[in-house]
Amino acid sequence: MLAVRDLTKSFTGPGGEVRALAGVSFELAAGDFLAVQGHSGSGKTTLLLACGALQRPDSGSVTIAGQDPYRLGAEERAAFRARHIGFVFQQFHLIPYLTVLENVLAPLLALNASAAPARAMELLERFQIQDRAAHRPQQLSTGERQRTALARALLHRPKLILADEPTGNLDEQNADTVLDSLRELAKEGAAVLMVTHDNRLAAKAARVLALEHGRPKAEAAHAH
Amino acid sequence: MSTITLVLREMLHRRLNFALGVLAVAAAAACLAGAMTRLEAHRLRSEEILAQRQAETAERLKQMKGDVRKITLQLQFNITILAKEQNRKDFLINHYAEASMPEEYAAKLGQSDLTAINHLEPSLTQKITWTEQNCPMILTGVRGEVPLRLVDAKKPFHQPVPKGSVALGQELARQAGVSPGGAVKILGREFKVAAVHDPRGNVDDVTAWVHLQEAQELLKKPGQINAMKAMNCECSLADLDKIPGKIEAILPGVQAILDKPPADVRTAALARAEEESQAALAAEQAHRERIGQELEASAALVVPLVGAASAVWLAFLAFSNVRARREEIGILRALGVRGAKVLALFMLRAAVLGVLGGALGYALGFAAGWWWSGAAESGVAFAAQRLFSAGCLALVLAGGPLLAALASWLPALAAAQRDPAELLRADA
Repeated sequence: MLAVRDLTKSFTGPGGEVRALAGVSFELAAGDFLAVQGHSGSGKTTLLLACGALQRPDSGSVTIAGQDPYRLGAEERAAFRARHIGFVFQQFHLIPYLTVLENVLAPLLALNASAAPARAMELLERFQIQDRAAHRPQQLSTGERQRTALARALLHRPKLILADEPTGNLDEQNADTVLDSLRELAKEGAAVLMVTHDNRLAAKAARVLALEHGRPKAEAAHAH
Repeated sequence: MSTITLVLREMLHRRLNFALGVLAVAAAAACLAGAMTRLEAHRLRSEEILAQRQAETAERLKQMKGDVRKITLQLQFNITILAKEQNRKDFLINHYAEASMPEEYAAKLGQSDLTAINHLEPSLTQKITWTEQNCPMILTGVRGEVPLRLVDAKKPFHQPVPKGSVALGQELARQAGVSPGGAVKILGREFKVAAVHDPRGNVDDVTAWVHLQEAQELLKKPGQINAMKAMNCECSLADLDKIPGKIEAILPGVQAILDKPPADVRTAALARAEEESQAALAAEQAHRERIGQELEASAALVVPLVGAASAVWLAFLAFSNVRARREEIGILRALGVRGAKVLALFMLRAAVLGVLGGALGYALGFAAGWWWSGAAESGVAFAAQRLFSAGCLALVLAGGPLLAALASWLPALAAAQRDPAELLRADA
């Protein structure tokens, strides 16, 4: 589903050039759940954005569903993201003036899906926030917000789910709920890539890729 | 989830930014609508004032013309036609012409195209010695009026003297001791006294009127006359002086002398009054036009100035809106929303803002223009019927969104082109 080969990426900052990624390679098949672990500044988010067709790497390749999104133009790449990728962020990035249901339906701005409202309600029920459908994000708890963001990421049934510190702002109970949801999605056939700095959470993923200064430190497989 | 839903929700969410944007468009629209309404009110008021002045002037001139016409009718505009070779000074001294001209001239003039003459009387006049009474007298032969081809027959100005009769001036009748019905001899021919005129205190008192043909015989000037009187001429003041020339063109052997009556002075005064009235009207019109031009000049300065200030203010608000929505734009782009659609979100917002601002601005500007132009005194119905301009409303309803879109274009374009990764990186 996702193949990353020798990915490199550098940024020029005030202190000079910073190498965010240096030769990262891995593959993620349908049903895989990979946790990318590392300290702050290890290149986790850069890797996630590169895998999400949002950050063009300096070298190497990213292949999603057999296609390199960086060979597409900006607008086609956006459409590609809309079709294949679901994003979950630490800060949720819910649109504050839309209701929970409308936030979940936000991907419709990029897609045409006539069955979307039914699918949205199905997801709200799945994440047990159906009674919050008409509420605004600021009326939700942080756990509910993240579940809303998760529902939004799944509206169009993406084959690849990219989660950037999805539990970073959640308490342990809510973090476990979100993590369980991601594992379920992987079991249902989605490829899940989760970025985290939390060893406990990383341990719950099927595989862990540890990054240090943009380089793969180690990759481990867990039996669950 | 549709684009319009997102746009409307965002407007309600960021009410202050949106309201300030509406006010910015409204200010520009109000300025334009106010200026146009005020100019239109001024134009209508000018028309009203000028029409009133024109009506007043026309009424005054009509009255003056009526007065002058009455005076003109009483005094008549007369023309004396003499033989060309007649010395005019001698004629004025002697009261009759020595040089004669063919009687047929009268017929020729009567059959001409000249319409100004209403009465034409040929005559033959000469100072003679009344041998029977041994005193001087003026003998005048008249035959009545010449028929005029282009003028309907009117009541004769003077009654003709029948052949064999004589009308005597008061002094002559007294000299001869005769009265109407009596008989008198002049140069050996006997005439029946048809009339004796009352004393007139002028040369008429020593004049005897006989039929023209008999006068020609007595004076031995057959077929000759020495004067024609064209009386009660009617023509415009401007054409009055042209009449003698026209007569002389028809009859090259004559000279025509215009007897300018005192009424001509009145007519000239009337003409002067007319000219002054026209000048006053023109001055009023120029004054109104000058005010209109001043209003136009101030509008030409203020409207673009306010429009530019509004555009800058709108651009600032648009930048502020884009800045506040960085996260939202980032997530929409991450979700796959194309840059063109992000641009459309901002343009649609600008369009809604522009239409609302334009409508509000038109209402405010219209009311302000109506009030400040003084047209408010004419009432709301006047405003609705005469001042309301669908064209102006359409202009601000089209111009408002255009202004908002232009001012928002660069911030919106920048938002659409922002790298979503950069916007989301704050999450890292």
